[in-house]
Amino acid sequence: MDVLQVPSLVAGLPKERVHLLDNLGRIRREIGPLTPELADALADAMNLRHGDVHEVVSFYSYLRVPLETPRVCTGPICDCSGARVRAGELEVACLGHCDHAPVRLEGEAIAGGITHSTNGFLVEPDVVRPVPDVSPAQLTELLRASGLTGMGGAGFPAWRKWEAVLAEPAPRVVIVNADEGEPGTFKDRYLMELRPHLVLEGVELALRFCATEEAYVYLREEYATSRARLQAAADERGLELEIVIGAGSYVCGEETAMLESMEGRRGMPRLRPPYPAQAGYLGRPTLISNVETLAQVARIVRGEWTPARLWSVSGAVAHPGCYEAPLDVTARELIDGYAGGSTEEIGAIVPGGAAGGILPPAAVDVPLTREALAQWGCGPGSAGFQVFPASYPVERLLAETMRFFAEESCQKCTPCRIGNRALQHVFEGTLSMTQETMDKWLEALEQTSICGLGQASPIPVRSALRHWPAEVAH
Amino acid sequence: MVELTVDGRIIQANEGELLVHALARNDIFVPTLCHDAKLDPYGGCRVCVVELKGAPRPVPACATRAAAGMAVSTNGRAERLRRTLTEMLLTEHLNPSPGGRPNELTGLAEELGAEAPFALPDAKRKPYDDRNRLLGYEPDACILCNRCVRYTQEVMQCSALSLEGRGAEARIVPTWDRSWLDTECELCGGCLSVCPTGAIYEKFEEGAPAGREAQLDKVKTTCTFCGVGCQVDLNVDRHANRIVKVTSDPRYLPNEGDLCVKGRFAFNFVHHPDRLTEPLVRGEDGELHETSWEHALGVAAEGLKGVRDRHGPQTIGLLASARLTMEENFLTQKLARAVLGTNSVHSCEAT
Repeated sequence: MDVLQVPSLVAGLPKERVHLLDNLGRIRREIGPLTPELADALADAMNLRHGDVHEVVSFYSYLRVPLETPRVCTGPICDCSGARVRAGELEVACLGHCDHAPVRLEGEAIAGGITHSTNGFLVEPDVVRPVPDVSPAQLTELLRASGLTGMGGAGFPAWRKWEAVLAEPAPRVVIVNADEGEPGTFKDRYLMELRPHLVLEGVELALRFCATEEAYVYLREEYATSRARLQAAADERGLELEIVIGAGSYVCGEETAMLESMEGRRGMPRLRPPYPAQAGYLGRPTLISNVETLAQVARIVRGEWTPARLWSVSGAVAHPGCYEAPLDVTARELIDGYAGGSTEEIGAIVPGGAAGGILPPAAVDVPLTREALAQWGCGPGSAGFQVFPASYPVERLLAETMRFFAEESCQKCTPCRIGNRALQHVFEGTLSMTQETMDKWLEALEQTSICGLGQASPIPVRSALRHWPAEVAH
Repeated sequence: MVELTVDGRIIQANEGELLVHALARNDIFVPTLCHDAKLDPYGGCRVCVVELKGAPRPVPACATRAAAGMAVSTNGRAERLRRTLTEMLLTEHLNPSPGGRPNELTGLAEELGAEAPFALPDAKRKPYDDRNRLLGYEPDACILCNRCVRYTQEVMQCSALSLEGRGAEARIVPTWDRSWLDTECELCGGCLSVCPTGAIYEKFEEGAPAGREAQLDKVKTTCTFCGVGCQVDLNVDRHANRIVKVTSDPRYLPNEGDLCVKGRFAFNFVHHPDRLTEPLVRGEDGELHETSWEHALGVAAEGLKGVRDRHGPQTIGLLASARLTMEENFLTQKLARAVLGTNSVHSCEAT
């Protein structure tokens, strides 16, 4: 660290608290990992309390780590593909490049480079097209008629979210949720890398809809290519867009945690109500929309949309990649018809990211819809479709999934903070829990957690206990 | 006022007031750990969850605002969830009484009949040690309710404590794990007063038994250190007949339970052997002798009168203590101007 650089860099940084995360990222990139002294210097320059900056720096996985430290993904797919962390490397949760597992990030580059295996509208030419002129009422109606739900994982009807923002007074804000962190999910990355103009067309529709010009993208730090392509596309369109770069935290993809993170605090979810549509970024009515949702909105407005979504397919398949496929596609169709077939005997399938539950091979012909998967105790979530070979023990998959939730818990609420850690130990075999305690704890997690992280973490547990009662001991 | 139905009973509440407060006024007590009326609603510990008709999940009573027509249930499933959450907190509560302070978590566990089904294998937190002599902290008693951190941020507006990290390593610690003396902390001890489990405690009480509170009598009095008039409770160990600590109560005015470092920690002078407890007057023998207030004040008055008569009133000046109240300061200037006839009167508060 060159201490002489500190005063000149710090003095030139913006002082408003909303720039804290960006400032910390810049210090890490330009000077070095955040030490207490650097953090204090920044706090003094920004007129913040030292403790406020301490809390934020310690919340994220990356700010205290040198840029050049290799990051090794230990998400379930990478773990299953033989990822091992060596001395001097940082172990991280899913890096969002599961189609290249095992994944290693060196600086900002994925080791070995990135390629795309895809189809559908992702391979259409990505060019600037004039944005169709639709009134807010027309747009709401189009969304309602399409039945489009949010593509981030929660599956809330898009039109209701959009309408709720419009019901609140200006000034409004549009935020693109590009903090794709659900293990096994990389569809938003494909979109930003291959169709940035389509995504930005959706952003422009959202801006017009909200009668505002204020747009932010909250982008996970690991997506350097997405960042560059999105920025280049925005410049080409003359669209002013502020890209906020995350610093390694899954829960910041939860929309209220994202707001906290953007406002320069720990990414801990807010209590609702008020919802972001009512009081979001800096208290303003805010439309937070997933990347894919915005791209699909653009396609709906153009009349190009069919009831399909982007499935991130990874694991034991011949061609891992991101494929546009119908909402009611089955696992067998995704594997054989899109991803070139399985490469090994299938042991388990995760249909929709870590929170989507675990399906047994017997469910390969079940349509991957919310309703059909509910019968199997699972859900399509973020469509992070992962195929695990029979050689990878399901109890290990479950243990890794719970470790992920435990490590990413923001620590605000009791059930998520303690429950997920206990379940991690149980499935790692270092703790035993009676059935009665298990039932009560899962109930508390699901019913009393503040946000989706804790509310959904019982799903993989329950589905694994149901489909593999003999293997999954507790 | 609005009407709510709670456990089948109709109660009145102010629209927009926190449910937990509305319930308490109607003698329905929902336990809380992270809640503090002085702080913004946080809803972290979740032990106050109640069922609300129409809500997809139980809601925290400490962060939900009363509205007309609400139908609330505090028992049944809500009670079961409360017991589970208490159990969860107990699994990492390795040291429930580091400094003899009351522990709301173990109290709640007893009330609900909740026990830790096991100890979390990674419950042990990184210890914290500090060279300051007033504040002690045991991370293994902390339940991460964040009350202390929020108190420093919202009430004291200083930077003393942080909620650090994520996952199993998360803990509450003075800023960057430094000594409290090297943070912005003013050692007011407010963090200790809001801690529900006694994880932060008076360092000189370290090792005090868990039942310590039962040995103490609280004597309410006015703090004598300045003119604000904070109300304090001197905690007297009735066997030793000594003040062991000073506390305050959020219901006390004007300080609402807040104190400063002097009010909370500077009470040792009470038992100091050099403390003057009777008026003394120097006798013919040149030594100080105990006497009555009447005689002592008479001697002082004679002395001052003598100076005034021999050298004139302007040769006398009065310097009042910063510990005097407004009324006492008024009387001091009255004594100076009307009785002694001097214009030289001042208070050391102004220096």
